[in-house]
Amino acid sequence: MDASLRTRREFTQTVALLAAAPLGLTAPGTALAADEKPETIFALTEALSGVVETRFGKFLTKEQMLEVQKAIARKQRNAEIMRQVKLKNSDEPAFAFRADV
Amino acid sequence: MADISDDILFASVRELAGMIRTRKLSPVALAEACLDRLDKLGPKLGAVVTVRRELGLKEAAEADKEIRAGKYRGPLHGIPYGVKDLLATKAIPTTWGALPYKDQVFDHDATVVRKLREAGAVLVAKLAMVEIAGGFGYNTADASFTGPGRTPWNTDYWSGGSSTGPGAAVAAGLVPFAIGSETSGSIITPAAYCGVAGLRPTYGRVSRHGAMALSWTLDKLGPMCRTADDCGLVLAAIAGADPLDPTAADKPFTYKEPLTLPSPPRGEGKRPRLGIIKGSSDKGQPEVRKNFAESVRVLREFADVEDDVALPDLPFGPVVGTIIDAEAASAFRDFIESGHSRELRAPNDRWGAYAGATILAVDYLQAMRVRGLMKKAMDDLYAKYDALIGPSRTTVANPIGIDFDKSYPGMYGGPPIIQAGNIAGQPALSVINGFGENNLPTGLQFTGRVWSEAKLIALAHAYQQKTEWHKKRPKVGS
Repeated sequence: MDASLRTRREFTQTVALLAAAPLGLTAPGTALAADEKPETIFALTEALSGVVETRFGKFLTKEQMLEVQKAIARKQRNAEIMRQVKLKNSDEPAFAFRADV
Repeated sequence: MADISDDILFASVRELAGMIRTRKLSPVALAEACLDRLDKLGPKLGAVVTVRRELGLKEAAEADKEIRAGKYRGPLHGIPYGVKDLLATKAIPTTWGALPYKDQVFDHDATVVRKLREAGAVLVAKLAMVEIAGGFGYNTADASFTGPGRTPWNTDYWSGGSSTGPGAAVAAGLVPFAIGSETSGSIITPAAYCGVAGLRPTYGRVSRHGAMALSWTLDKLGPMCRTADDCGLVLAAIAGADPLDPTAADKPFTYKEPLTLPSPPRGEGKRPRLGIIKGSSDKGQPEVRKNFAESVRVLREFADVEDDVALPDLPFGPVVGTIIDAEAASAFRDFIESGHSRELRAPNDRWGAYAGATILAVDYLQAMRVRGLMKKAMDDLYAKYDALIGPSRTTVANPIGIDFDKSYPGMYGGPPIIQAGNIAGQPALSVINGFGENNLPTGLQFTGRVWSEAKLIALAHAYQQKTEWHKKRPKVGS
């Protein structure tokens, strides 16, 4: 199964769709931050899709790779939504490492 | 000795225990009846992976012998059950619902299986599940190598997942109880779609040793039964600390009867305090909303119910999705990198893990740090109530053959009850509260503060004492 890179036009269409109609796990009523541009998500999606293409491209058809790219775009949007929650240095992750064995 | 009639097959664990303890019912006869039913109806419901006939009958015979000798272990002694096929069982396959794992055999039993054996329960089946517990993003009911799980109320519709087999098997009277699991919705959803009682315990209440790990910080094992009261009996047998699972808390759960709720007339004393999760019934199918409204009317007979209790305004969906993606990508790293995803059943599962594997470490840690705030916010909210309630799902079961996102357009949305509860590690209990279109059941869920399972069971039991929905039986195989 060969996978080929999507064109920039297809990427742009994907991100435009994402910005217009949030899908999947995005919280209702959330929006990108005022300073967040779709191009940032576009660039991140493109870069991460390249990682998938490099590592796993041989396992994916062109159609599947397109679905992967859309999913990555949604996940990057979710990452941006989470970034909007302001955290302090003292806010630790919800797991604890213990040194005892 | 009682004949194994439908009344027996659809009896609760508590009712069966009474008959077995007084030797009016033979554990061997009961096991044989369940095994026959599993063989005959299990495949039609897509509910069964492996029927454990020989070993099951051996355990039933041992139970019978012990009980005759006066050694009665408790209410699960001699009771047949099934487990979702992500729980390790010695000598028979543990398939994780996925074709690449269909011949996988472990050399040990999961702690839950061991504890149930010590309680005298009789394991008769490994039950079907969505492949890899749904962690790769399936969007269709046909997502198990055993085919789609079907709700016995209308077999053209999905049983709900990822605990497809446990939900269908209990609803159809194939087993009196089953063990399911939930990472984010996988007990509550099949409980709702199959019309059974499903309890998602507090994270850490039940050992995960021997269970397939999809997401280490979200996975929970819990009972699926005919009644809320039965969920208490089963939880008491499986809960507790385990040196093999450091996340299993040293919080014993004892249960003999449901808690007695205070029941003064309205205005004359403290009654249970419930809150309706704001927006939980604004969207959804009309019958779901109508059944929920009627449930609230019943609950107001013994509890004070406050309207419009809003969940904290935090991004529960993105957080739970990020955590599952990252932890699943790590837990299944070898599988993903080997290309075995191509052998999975559901189209989305064949590529979904690759997208999940792109979560950045800083984003996973962001999710886990935000999760800490969410836990505190949820606990602050829930401290004011005995439980918050809502419909278990906004629709009835999905039709088989239509992708989920196309099944019921416009019927989804509302507050992220399941995501929020799972992120915070809180318990929830779904019970049947009526029927909707196409003779499909609807569910009412009670959600509570961490470690409040006894209270949720008591509330759901009180609801079931005033309603008859849990006594209805699907026609399959009758």
